[in-house]
Amino acid sequence: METSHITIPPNDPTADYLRQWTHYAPALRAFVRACVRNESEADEVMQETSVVAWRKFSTLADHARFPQWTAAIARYEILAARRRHARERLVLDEDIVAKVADEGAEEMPVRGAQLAALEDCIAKLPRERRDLALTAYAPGASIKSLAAQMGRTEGSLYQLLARIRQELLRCIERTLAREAQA
Amino acid sequence: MMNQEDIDRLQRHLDGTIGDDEFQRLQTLLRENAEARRMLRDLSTVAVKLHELAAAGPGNAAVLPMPSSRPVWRQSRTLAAAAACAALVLTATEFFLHRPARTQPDPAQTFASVRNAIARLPAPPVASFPEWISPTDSMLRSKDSPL
Repeated sequence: METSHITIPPNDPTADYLRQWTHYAPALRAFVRACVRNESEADEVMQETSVVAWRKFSTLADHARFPQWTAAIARYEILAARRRHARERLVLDEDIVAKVADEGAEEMPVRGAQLAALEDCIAKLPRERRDLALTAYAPGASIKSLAAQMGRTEGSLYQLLARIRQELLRCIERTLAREAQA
Repeated sequence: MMNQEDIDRLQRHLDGTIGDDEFQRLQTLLRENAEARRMLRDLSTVAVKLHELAAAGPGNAAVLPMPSSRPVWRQSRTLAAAAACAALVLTATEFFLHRPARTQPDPAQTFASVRNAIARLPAPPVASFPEWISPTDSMLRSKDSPL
C-alpha cells in the first residue's frame, strides 16, 4: 500500500487548532458533563462546540486562553441543548446550569490537573475495584446485566460505583494538595 | 457543608437514577450551595476519566468473568486445534531430545587409523637402475686409455 507523507507548514491554523483541541478536550468534556444529563448529551455539546471553535479559531488572539475560550463556547451550546431537552424529565433549571458552567469555565486549568492526578489514583485502586469501574464505564456496558452477572442488585452496584468515585475524588484532593506543597 | 446524603444525591443525578422528588431537593442544593456545584463538576471529571480509560483499549478492558455465548461446536473446534498444536510441539521436543548424539572425531584416533591403512598398502617395486659410472672412470677403464 502506498503511503503519502504530509508536510504541515509552520503556523498552520488547522494543525494548531487540532493540537489545542486534542489536548484540552478531556477537561472540556468533564466541564460539559457536569452541566448536562448524560453522556449522549455531552457528545452532542462537544461536537457542536468543536465546530464553532474551529470556525472562530482565527479570532482567538491568545492561544493560552484556549481552554477558557472553548468553555465559553461550550456554555452557550450547553444552554442551547438544555432548551432543546427542556420538556424531558430531570433537566436542571437554566439558572443552575449557568452557575455550574460559569464556575466551571474558571476552573479549566484545575480540571486538567485533576485528570492527570486521576490516572495515578485509578492505577492505585485495588484490582477488583478498578476492574469493576472500568467494566461499568466501558462503551455499551449495561449496569443491569453487570449486576446480574455479579449476583447483586442494580442499586447496590450503583452504590458501589459511587463509593469508588468518591474514593477517587479523595485521592485527587490528596494528590493535588501534596503537589501544591512540593 | 455537605453531608453524605447530598453527595449520594449528586451521584444518583450523574448516574441518571435519581427520583423526581429527590431531583427537586438536588436543584435546591445546587442553586444554593457552591460546594455542591463544585462537587458535581469534580464527580463528573472522575466519570469522564473512567469512560476515557474504559474506552481506551483492551489493556484497560473488563477482566470480570463473563459467561461464554459461543456455540459448543465452535468451542470443540478450538479445542481440537489446540490439541493438534500441543501434539506437534511434543513430537518436535521428543525428536530433539532423543536424536543420536553427534560427537567430534578424535584426531589421534584418526591419525592412527590412517597410518595403519598406509602400512597395509603393498610395498612399492624397487627401482632397478643401471649402475652409474662416471665418464672419467669409463674412459680410464677403456682399452684405449693411455693410463
